Amino acid sequence: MSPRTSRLLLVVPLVGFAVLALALAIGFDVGRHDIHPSSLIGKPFPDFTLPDLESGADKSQNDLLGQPRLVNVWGSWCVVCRFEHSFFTELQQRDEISIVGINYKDQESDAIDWLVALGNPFDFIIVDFEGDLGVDLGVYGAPETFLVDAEGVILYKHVGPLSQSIWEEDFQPLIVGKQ
Amino acid sequence: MIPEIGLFITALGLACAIGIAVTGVWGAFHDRDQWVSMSIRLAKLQFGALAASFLLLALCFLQDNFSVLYVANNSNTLLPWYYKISATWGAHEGSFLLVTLIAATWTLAVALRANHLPVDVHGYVLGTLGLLNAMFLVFLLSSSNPFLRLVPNVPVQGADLNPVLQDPAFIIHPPILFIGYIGFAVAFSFGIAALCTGKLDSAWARWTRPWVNAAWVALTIGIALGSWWAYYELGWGGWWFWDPVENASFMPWLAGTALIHSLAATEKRGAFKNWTILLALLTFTLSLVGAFLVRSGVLTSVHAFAVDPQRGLFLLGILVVTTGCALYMYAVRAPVIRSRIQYWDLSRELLLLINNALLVVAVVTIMLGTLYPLGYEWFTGGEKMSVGGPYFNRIFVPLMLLLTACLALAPISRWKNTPMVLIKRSLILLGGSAVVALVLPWVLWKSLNFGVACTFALALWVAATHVVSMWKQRNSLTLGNIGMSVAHVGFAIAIVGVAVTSAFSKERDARIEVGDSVTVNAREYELVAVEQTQGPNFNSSKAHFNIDGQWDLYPERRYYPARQTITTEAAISSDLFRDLYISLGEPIENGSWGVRVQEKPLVRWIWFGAFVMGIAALVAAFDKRYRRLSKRDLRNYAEDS
Repeated sequence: MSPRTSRLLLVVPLVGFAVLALALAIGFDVGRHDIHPSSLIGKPFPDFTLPDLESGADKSQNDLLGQPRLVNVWGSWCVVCRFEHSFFTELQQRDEISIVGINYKDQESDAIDWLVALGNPFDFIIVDFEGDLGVDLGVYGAPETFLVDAEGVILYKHVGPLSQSIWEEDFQPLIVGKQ
Repeated sequence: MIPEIGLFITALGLACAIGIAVTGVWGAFHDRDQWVSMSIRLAKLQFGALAASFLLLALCFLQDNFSVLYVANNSNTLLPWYYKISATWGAHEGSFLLVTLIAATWTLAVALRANHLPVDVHGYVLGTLGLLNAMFLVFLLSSSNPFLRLVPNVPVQGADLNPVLQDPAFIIHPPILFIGYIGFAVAFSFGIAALCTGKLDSAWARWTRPWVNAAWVALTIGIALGSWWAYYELGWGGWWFWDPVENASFMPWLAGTALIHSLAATEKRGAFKNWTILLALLTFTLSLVGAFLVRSGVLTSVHAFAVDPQRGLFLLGILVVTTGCALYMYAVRAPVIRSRIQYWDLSRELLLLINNALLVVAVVTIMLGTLYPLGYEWFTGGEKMSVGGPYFNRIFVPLMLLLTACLALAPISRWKNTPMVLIKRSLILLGGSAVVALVLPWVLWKSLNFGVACTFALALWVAATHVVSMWKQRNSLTLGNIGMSVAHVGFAIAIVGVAVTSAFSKERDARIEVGDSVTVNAREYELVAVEQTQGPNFNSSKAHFNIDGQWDLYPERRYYPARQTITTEAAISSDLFRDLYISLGEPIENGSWGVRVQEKPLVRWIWFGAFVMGIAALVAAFDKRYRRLSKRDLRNYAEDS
């Protein structure tokens, strides 16, 4: 055996690591764009009949028709929703899109206190105390936000709090594309 | 004010880290003592700053300061005070602050305890550690700030700590694990120092060994605690799930084990020099890969809120920069003169080589199994799949048995060449062990199992060869010898536990009413009563079981309203030879309950073996030769340069 190791052999770990890093980068990319692929995208919003939080009148999927809407799943118990709330207030003031809330696995009094304290950016709020609609929507936890077009078809689903940058990057292009 | 002060002194910690990096590397490069002493002083300051910052975050938890987003997300006024403290490291931001504190602690230890090192080595090691912690702190401050305020909408109540983490083992498990992960940064820095100075001799190996041992001890005990926690807290009675988070900790453990062994060959025989450096670099790389896999959300998207794309990208950046630079230096600077040692006879060198080869195959196996689902998803355009226990077990069982066989020869093997007579003598011990291995399981568990018999035979052989050789050397034993032998026996204990638990566990799922009983392995488990109780932040259904009229066990099913989560608190009656394990399932209509009853023989041996290994490696780290080293080594070192 030769007493000298070739320099070339010493480069092997670096090359191996480059391959690993590439694999991790690809995995990260896949994971980022497709954390929770919702099988509902491109499908009509599921059927439901649930009361309105404020009036108590029944609401159904037909109440979502007519214009594009954001449907936000929230609860007064969810801290991140509180964080996200200021963005919705801003969005409502700019009057860019109609926002509908789904009050998820909550208590009525808690939900109303929360809205009184922080303000109400929602056009109306559907009450889902049992989480049945949440099951149909494949909700993992709050907050989650759906984009629904004027025909009631789900265009996009976002898991986690919404922010201006996510709104601009992921939501706005879909709405513009539709009009 | 407290969160702002915390943030400010964390930034001060970053300034110190940068200072350590600059003064350490500069001092080493120009061989200036005063620069390196500056670096040592900064290491003290860095530790002080990050310790204070960590305490302030803990204080925010104790004060229920929900204006801090991280506190609001992970605590609750009803949480007991000790869990408020442990919640400090209960999620990403706080646990990463703890990581930087631990890195600062290791840096301080190296600064104070390793001042017998030549100035250039000491400077490069400190400088590298400073650079690493500087990167961690930039990451912490830029995308994982634990002191971020949630104003103006301050909640009156927090979201509570994830209930499965509200457990005593969890209070200590993550810190110990992080001590292990980050401890390998010290080995990494010694590797970088060797590449910078170009001097890689047995003195270098001797300087590095106690640090590697210390990191390995922490990682071993951390993993064992995690496994023990999963065993009783998750309620399935499993102790290892091959899930990505566990794999992330197991890979650096295997690589670190290989490193300990190849360092021995480098120290004693000057063998495997390049390989040892590479392992030192790769072990820490695997710790970083683990951190990336766990924290970027690539593999475990349990809750997407924790996943901020910026974080994953940043961690990937740290990994690429750290390992990329290190391996580039390795490619350019590693010595090309091959150590001219013949080890092709059945020598200790050869055994260590086989040991390393097996451990590396094990690491690659886990890496492939962990990354395969990602690749699959990418190639198929989004289809999910998972690689489970069967894949890992099929490869791991034969690997570990081979490893055990090598292990048995460790104490009788000699450097260069092992006399045939020693090998023959040890084969007699193997024969004896095999006979016992065939008879004993049959006597104890009334069944025969090929895997168990093999494991028993090899494990007994390991114990026998080590005990015999320790006895023979009883007058000249060093802490290093004792540590090595006891750690190997610990490994044998652990694999016996693994084999017997896997082969002879009995379990039964049943639905029973109060007053009924289930029979498992000839023991009768009677459900005496179920009562509702109230904890500080949970409600609980607590069952009372009586086993054979001798033992009483109280498994619980807890509901934590703040997180709307149910946890299963298994009840376990254990002795040296078996665990009786009851977990309470769903209440079913008309007052009956789902229960799972298990009898798990020798399951404690797995963790006991791991603790024995950990303690033994710690003992070995205190061997006199690591302290006495300085004078002769320094003289040799000075002659070289």
